Amino acid sequence: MVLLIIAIAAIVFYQKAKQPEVIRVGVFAGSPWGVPDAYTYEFIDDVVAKFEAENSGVKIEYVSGIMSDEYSEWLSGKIVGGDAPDVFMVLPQDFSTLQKTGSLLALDSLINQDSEFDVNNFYSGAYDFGSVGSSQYALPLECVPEMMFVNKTLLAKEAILTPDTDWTWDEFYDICKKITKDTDGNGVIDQFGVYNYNWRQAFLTNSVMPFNEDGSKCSIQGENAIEAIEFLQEMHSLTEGTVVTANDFDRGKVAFMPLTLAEYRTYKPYPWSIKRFSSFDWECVTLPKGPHGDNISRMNTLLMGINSRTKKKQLSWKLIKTFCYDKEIQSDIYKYRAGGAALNSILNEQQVLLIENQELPKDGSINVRIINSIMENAIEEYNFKDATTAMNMLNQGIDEIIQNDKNPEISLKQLQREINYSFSK
Amino acid sequence: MNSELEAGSRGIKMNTNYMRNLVLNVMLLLNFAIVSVLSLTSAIAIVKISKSMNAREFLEGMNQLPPVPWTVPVIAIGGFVLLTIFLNIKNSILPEHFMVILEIALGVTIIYTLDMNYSGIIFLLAAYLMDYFRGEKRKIGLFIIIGISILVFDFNICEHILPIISFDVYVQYFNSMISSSLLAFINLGTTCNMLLFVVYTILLLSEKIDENKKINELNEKLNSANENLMHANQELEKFAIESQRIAKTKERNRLAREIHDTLGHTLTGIIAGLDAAIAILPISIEQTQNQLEMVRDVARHGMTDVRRSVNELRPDVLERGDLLSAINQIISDVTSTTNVEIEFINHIEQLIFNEDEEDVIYRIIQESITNSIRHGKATKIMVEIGKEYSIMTITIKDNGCGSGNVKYGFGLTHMQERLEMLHGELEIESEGGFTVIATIPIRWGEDND
Repeated sequence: MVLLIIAIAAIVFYQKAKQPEVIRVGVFAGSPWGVPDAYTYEFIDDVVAKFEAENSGVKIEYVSGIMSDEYSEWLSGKIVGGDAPDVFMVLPQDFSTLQKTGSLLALDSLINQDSEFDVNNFYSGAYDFGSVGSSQYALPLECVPEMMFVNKTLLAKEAILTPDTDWTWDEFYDICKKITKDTDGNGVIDQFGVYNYNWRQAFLTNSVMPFNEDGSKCSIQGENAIEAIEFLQEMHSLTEGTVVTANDFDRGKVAFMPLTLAEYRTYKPYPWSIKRFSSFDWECVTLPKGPHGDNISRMNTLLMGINSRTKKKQLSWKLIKTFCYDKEIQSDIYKYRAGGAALNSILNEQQVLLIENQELPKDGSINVRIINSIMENAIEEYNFKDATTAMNMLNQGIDEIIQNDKNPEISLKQLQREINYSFSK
Repeated sequence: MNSELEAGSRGIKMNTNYMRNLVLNVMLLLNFAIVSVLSLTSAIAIVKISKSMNAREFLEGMNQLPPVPWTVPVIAIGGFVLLTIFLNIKNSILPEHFMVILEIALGVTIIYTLDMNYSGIIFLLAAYLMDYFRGEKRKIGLFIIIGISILVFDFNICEHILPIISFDVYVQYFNSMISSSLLAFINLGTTCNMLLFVVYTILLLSEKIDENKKINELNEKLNSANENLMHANQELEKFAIESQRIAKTKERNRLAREIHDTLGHTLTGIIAGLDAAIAILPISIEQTQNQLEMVRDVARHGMTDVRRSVNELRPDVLERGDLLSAINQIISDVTSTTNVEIEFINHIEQLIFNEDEEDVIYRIIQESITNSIRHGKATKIMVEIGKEYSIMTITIKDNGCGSGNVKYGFGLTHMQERLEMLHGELEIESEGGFTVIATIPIRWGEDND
C-alpha cells in the first residue's frame, strides 16, 4: 500500500517534472506610439525562441491578437480577475496605475541579487521611467524621446543652416522670425516658424519642473518659468494671431515641429517616407535650449514588468532581462519596432553592425548620432497617475496666458495656486 | 448550605442559559450570512469587472489590487466554519489559552479577508469568549480589547493605512436593485449583530444580578440562622447553668437520702442491738458481749456504707455482689443484731436488674425493714419479690403496730422519689402491721435476660 502511494507520487512528480514550466507573457500587436507597425510578433517570437533555447524545459505562452489600444483593458481585466500573465508589457500610461495598485513586482531584490545586471547600461531616462521613489518596478524595453523636426527644404529656401545640436532659444526665435511671413502677399501670414511647440518643451529646456515626481504638487513660479512663458509669448506674437495647423505643416509651410523618435524612424526611411512629409526634405535635431537649460527631451518608454502575484519570480526576471537587457534582442528593436532600444550600448557600440544588418537604413536617412545624443540626455516622461489631467490643466492655463498676453509672473502664481488647490482635492 | 447555594444559582442559570444560547446561535447564523454575502458579492463583482470593459477604470480608482476572486469566499467562509467549530468545542485537548488565541486569530483573518468591511465578528467572539474572560480584571481586559478592535478594524480608519477595498466599490458593479438590497442587508445585519450582542450582554448581566441576589438572600438566611443558633447557644448556656444548679440540688438530696438510708439504718440497728444488750445484760454477760460484738459489726458495716456513700454512690454490699446477696446481707445483719425474724420470698429466678433498679430495690427493702423495726416495733417481717408481666412487685410486710395515720417522713418520701424515678409506685397499708408495696416497671431484657 505504502509502496503503491510512493509509486503514484513518483509518477505524478515525474510527469510534472517532464511537463515544461510555462511562463505567460502579456504582449500586444501594433505600436503604442501611434505609428504603423507590422513586425510585433517577429520581435516577440525572436525573444521566445532565444529564451526557450537558453532555458530548456521552459515554455513561453502569449495571447496574440490583442491590439495596443485594447491592451490596457485586456491586461487590467486579467489583473483584476487574478489571472494576469507572469510577465507583461506595460504601456507608459498604465505604469503608475499598475505600480500604485501593487500589480507590479518590485524588482529591487532581483536586481541586487543579479551581479551581471548593471543599470548603467540603460538610458537613464528610460530606466527612471520604471522607477517610483527608490524602487524599480519595470525595465525599459523600448523608448521614444521627443525630437525637433526641421523642414530642411524650407530652411534652405530662406538660406538658413540646419541648427546644431546645442542651439538656443535665441537662434530658434531668430529662425522663426525670418521664416514667418506672408509669401503670397494676400496679407495673411502663410509661412510659419513652428507648429505644436508649447510650454512642455519650453519648460523642460529651461530647467522648469512643473510637477514633482508623484504629481502631488505643481510649482511653476520662478525666473525660469517666467522666461519660458515670455519666450512662448514672443513666439506667439510672431504669427500675429494666425493659427498654425497640421495642414500647414504637411504642406511644408512650417519649419519646426516637435515629434517623436517613433515618428521619425517610421516616416523618414522608405517606404513610409512617401506617406508623409514627402514633398520636402527634413531632418531631426535636438530641442533648442533656454538661457537656464539644456537641449534635452522627455522620453516615453514601453516597459516590461513582472506580475506581483507570479510564482516564478526568477524565470520571470530572466525573461524580462531577455526582453530588455539582451543586446541581440535590443538590436531587434531597430529591426522590427519604431522606437529606440533601451540599452545605450546598442547605438553606441553597434551602430555599424545595425546598419550592416539592415536594422537601420543604409542610406543614412536616420541620424544615429543625434538619436543617441537625444536619448542619452532625455529625461523620463511624466508618469504619475493623473499626469494627463494635470497636463491638460497646465495646457489650458498657459494657453490662456499666452493667447491673452497676460503678465507671466502674476498669472503663473495664480495658475499654480489653482492647480495645487485642485490637487489637494 | 453550600449545596443549596449551588442549586440556587444552577436554577437561575438554567432559565437564562436557554435564552443566551438562542441569542448566541442567532448571532452565529447572522454573522455567517453576512460573511457569506460580503465575500461572495466581492468575488462575483471582481469576476464581473474583469470580464467587463471596466477593469482599467476600476484599477485606476484603486490603490491596491483586488484579491484573487475565489480566495475571498474560500478564506472567509472556510475560516468562519472553522471558527464556529472551534468556538463550539467544549473540551479541547489543546490548552484553553491556545484555543482562545487561535479563535481570535481566525476572527482577525476573516475580518482582514473581508477588507475590514465587516468587523461584527468581534462581537460574536466577545460573546463567546465572555466565559473565558472570567473575573474582574479579565473582564476589563476583554472590554479594552473589544474597544480597541472596533477602532482598529474600522474600514474608514484602516483605509489609509492598509490595502483594503470598500464593499461599496464592489456593489456599484451590480444593478441598482441588487446593490441597494445588498447594502441594506449588510447595514441591517451589522446593526442586528450589535443589538444581539447588547441583548446577550444584558442577559448575562441580569443573570449575574439574579445570581448575586440569590446569593445575598442565601447569605441573609445564613445570617439569621446563625443568629438563631447564637440565641440557642445562649439559652443552652443558661440551661446548662440551671441544670447544674438542679444537679447540685439533686445531688444534695441524694446525699441526704444516702445519709438517711445508710446512717439511719445502721444507727437504728445499733440502737436496737444496744437495747437488746441492755435487756439481756442482767441475764447473761456472755450473751451481752456477743450482742455487743454484733452491734459493733453493724456499726462497722454502717461505717463502710457511710464511707462509700461519701465516696460515691452504691451501697457497699451491692457494689461487691449481686442484689440477692445484698438483700441476704441486710436480712442476716438485721436478724443477727435484733430479735426480728425476717422471711424472704423470692419469685424471680435471677435477681439481676439495671444498676438504678437494683439500687432502688435494695433501698426500699432496707428502708422498709428499718421502718418496721424503728417505728413498728415489729418482730416478724416478710419480704416478697415477685413479678406480673413486666411489673415487679416488692412487698414488705411486718407484724408491728403499724400506724393509723401514715405520715410520710423522710424515709417514705425518699422511697417514693426513688420509685418515681423509675416510674414505679408506692403503696402503703397500715392495718394489721405495716405493709409497703412497691411496683416497678422493670426494663426486662434490656441488658439482662
